[in-house]
Amino acid sequence: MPPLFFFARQIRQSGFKFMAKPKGVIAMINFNNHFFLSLALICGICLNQNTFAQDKDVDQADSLDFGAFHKDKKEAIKVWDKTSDAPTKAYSDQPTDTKQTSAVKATDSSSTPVTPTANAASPAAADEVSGKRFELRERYTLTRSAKTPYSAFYVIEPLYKQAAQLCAKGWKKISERSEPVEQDYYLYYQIECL
Amino acid sequence: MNRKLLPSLIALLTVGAAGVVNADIPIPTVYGKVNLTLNKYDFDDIQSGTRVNGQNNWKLESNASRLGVKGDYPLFGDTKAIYKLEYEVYPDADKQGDGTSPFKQRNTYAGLQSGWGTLFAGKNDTPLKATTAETLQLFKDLPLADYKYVLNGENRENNIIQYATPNLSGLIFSAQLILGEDTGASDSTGAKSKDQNSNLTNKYSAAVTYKLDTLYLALAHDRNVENADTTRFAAQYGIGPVSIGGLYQNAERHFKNPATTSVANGVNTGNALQAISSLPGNSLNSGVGNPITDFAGGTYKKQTGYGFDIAWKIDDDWTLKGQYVRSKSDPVDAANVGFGDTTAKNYAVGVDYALSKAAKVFAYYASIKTDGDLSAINSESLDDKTYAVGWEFKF
Repeated sequence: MPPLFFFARQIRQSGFKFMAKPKGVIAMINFNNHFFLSLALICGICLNQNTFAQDKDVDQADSLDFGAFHKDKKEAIKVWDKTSDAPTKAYSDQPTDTKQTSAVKATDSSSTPVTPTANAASPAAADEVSGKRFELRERYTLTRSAKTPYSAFYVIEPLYKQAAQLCAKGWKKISERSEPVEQDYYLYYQIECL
Repeated sequence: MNRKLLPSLIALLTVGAAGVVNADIPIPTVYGKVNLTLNKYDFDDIQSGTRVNGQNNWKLESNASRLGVKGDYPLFGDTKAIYKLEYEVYPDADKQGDGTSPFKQRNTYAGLQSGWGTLFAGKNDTPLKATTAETLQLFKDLPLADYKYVLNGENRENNIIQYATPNLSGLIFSAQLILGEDTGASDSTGAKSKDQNSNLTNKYSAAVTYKLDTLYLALAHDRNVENADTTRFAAQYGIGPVSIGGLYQNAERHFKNPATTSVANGVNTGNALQAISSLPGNSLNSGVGNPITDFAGGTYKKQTGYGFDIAWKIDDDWTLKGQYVRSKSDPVDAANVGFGDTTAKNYAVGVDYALSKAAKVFAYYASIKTDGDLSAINSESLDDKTYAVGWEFKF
């Protein structure tokens, strides 16, 4: 039997009557019947279900819980989307292992492995990253180093390869900087996919 | 604050935030809702001792639709500056706000928040009003179904300083000082005028609330808020998909001065409680204004009220709800002689259908029946009612 019909029948049997009146409907409840008590107890098991979930700022705007109101909600609408402006790092911040770095050097242009989020074989993926910003880096040396084969001149090539992998439809350079690391340097590119 | 400055303020916040985004400053959050109803009104009126149809029309209503900006800013330790600027907007018509503005000021404040609680100043709902705002009031802001049409105490006050504790395992205490800003000056005889609201603590509102799972309890008191000393008790309990609530309150006038007292130096001359909200859409017929004060001869000195509500969340989409609120007001005429009590009975039933977490459509029916001294003022009781369909979008 559908639950709603069962519920309606139980209500009817319990003495709950709807009485039509010229100006509306009134309800009479026979509280001597145990049905409502049983119903209350059964429903009490389901206390984890919140009748009125409040997960938006406007739901809490008029409450006295100012701590909850001023907490950031998941679906909050920021006047300025800060996260969209922050570039995604296309490298790991973990210190690079010398041997691994050397191995990478031999086989790949990247001394800090990345997982490209887009590639030229997927036009749909390329559309998804349009406008997205990435930060790339590559290690280079001004003298001689066991941790990178690149000089300041040749370090640009591996960066361009990384950029091509990330932005299938091209990219533009937002900024460029160099920071020292041990006896070498990192060359950073911030790019935005076209 | 000049409401015309709102667009500029939002733009300033936006540009300001954009300009300093890299300085890791928290970004303002925009929130709000649009709530519109298509109401069919049927209001009674008394003319020449006979009950007639005072208003019978359709209206599109915007019900507390609003636009808000809130945010915070770290100061030191775990202390942060907070702010909130919220304005009512009118999607259904132009320039319905303060003056000829499209905006009407709602709760607006700035202050500090930390582990010790929240302290702010500005304009805000009284804690007494807030006790039932997001809990018991299932038909909040809707014509003829909001508490404000039947009960005193639904106040939003200017010039407030408010403190609220953090949520202490469900317990929250909040106190609000309301500055009357009367002059405090002496009268022509050099004596201090009586009944001035010139001190810091002349007017206040305080509330304590407790919430544990689906149990909610609240006790609140207003002193001299809109000339009323009001005490409200509210409780709500959720039993699975069913939520049941109730409230009781008592309001009495704070000042009892006859209306003929001098008004020099900002002396409070009130001898009655503040009138509750009038019925909507009655600008063409003053006789259908306010059912309680119509019966009370314009003023009343005491009111007791109680109400019940029930909501049944049938499933994720459908919610049935109902409400019954009743108040009894003790009128007073200019000679300070009371008429017979005025009783207002309000009931509302409705159904919500959720389109998503942020949107719903709904329908409701509400009625306010008023009965009072049938010999002094009105010779007939009044029955004002409305039914409506509506939709609400939150963001």
